[in-house]
Amino acid sequence: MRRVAIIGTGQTKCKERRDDLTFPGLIYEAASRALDDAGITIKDIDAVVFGSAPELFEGVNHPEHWCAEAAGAWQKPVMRIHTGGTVGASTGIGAFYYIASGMFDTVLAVTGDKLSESPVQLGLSTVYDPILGRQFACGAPSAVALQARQYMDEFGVTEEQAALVAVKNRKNALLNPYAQLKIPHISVEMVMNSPVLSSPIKLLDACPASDGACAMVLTGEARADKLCPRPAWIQAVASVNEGVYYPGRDFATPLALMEAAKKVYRVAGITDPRRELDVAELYEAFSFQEMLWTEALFFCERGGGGKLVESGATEMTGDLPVNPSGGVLSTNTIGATAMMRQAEAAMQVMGRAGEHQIDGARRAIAHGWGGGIQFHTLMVVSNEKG
Amino acid sequence: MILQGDITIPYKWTTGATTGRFLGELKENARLVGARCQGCGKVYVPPPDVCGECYKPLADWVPLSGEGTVIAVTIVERPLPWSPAVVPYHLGLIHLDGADTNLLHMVAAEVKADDRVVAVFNVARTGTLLDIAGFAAIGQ
Repeated sequence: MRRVAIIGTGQTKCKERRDDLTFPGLIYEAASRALDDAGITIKDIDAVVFGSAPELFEGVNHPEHWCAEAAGAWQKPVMRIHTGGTVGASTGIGAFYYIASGMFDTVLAVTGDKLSESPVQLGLSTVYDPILGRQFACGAPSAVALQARQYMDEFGVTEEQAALVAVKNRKNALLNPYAQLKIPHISVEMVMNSPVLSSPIKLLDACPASDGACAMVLTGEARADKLCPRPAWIQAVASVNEGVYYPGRDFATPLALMEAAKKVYRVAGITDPRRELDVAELYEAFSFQEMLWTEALFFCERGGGGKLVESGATEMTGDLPVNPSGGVLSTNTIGATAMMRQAEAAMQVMGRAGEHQIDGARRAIAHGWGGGIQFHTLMVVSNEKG
Repeated sequence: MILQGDITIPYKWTTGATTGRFLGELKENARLVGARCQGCGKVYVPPPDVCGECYKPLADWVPLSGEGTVIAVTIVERPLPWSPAVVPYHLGLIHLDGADTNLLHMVAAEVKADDRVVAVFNVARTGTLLDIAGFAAIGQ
């Protein structure tokens, strides 16, 4: 297997509605920024991997063809990936497979969604089985609310601790020029007093819906060494699925994420993730999820996610900052969201994260969640080839 | 500028034999049944075609009392597409007696985690999960 590195990333400014750009326009903005960041042009790209979430969001089928020119895929191989909320991460992983296998050398991976074009929860409700689940129109919030309730009841995690996550990430977002939601005076009281969506989840425990896109340029070892002074080397990836048959799941125990974590830690040679990882970008669409994910990633013991955020360890000044970008709680395009985690992790180890750079970040982990309650991806990136 | 549009597509979803039998029991007999995996013996309610863990079809049918224990409850305050009731309504995860899975359905307002509940059926039934009106508390 060949070594693969991320040598450029590009993000759009995300907004509730980008009136200035079509969906292909968003894709072009992110892809051209990634090429500029990598210091190459579209002529240097051998293949394109395109990702977006349900077609119903924009109402156009075959989005990889709709966006072919904007994605730089004219006269090039193009493959579309769609794995729900994890699609952005799966698209990055698809590009990694292309290069690691030796099939292609330099690949553009680009993802996005323009969620303002249709009622998001209506499109999302169609991901549920029409016979055995859609009657309850879980959307995202209700199914996740039951996950929150079960997790919090089982481990004694509190709504105030979840609110701390919401405050931490919203404050980090103030330092990220691409983040959508900026609430300078965010506080635990504000989160606790925000309207209930589906108990225990309140408005400020939830992510916004965004128009936006994200892209990455990935390449093999020889070109990475030549083109990039400090690439983000991909040390390990994992993608683990538990399916979407909800009745069989223990919502409070993300088995797929625990399995994915064990895989990437084994491949990357990580035995103590809390100590050996410098930064984490996690897919926390809802505040309490960040606590659950940190447990499943073995940053702390089971049930310890609430105490972890209380300790300050996951703040930008802590020993393992989580979501210095502001996370999904600040920006959620769905299509690009999980790739933004990978791009942000790469930016950290490349030293290109600007105002939200974590000093001395050498190794980072990026997580994607979606598809159903428990479908997870992970990627470990490092400034060392390892 | 904004171009307005609309997509309306009618579908006819096949239930398959396994799920179809489950739905038929709801409709014809106002009764909950589960199906057992031939591999691990796990009882699924409602039953899909295949046990993901064993990769075997579900075969044996298991009658259920319709009673169970509540695992978790959420109160839905905002309407969602195809909401099954007017908000606020209470959604519960219910571990039915004899099942190895948790059913997602509506529960009565007073019901909370660990409470015992029983399925209440509608008089007019069409063969969907909504033939169960919801789950009511029993034996407080």
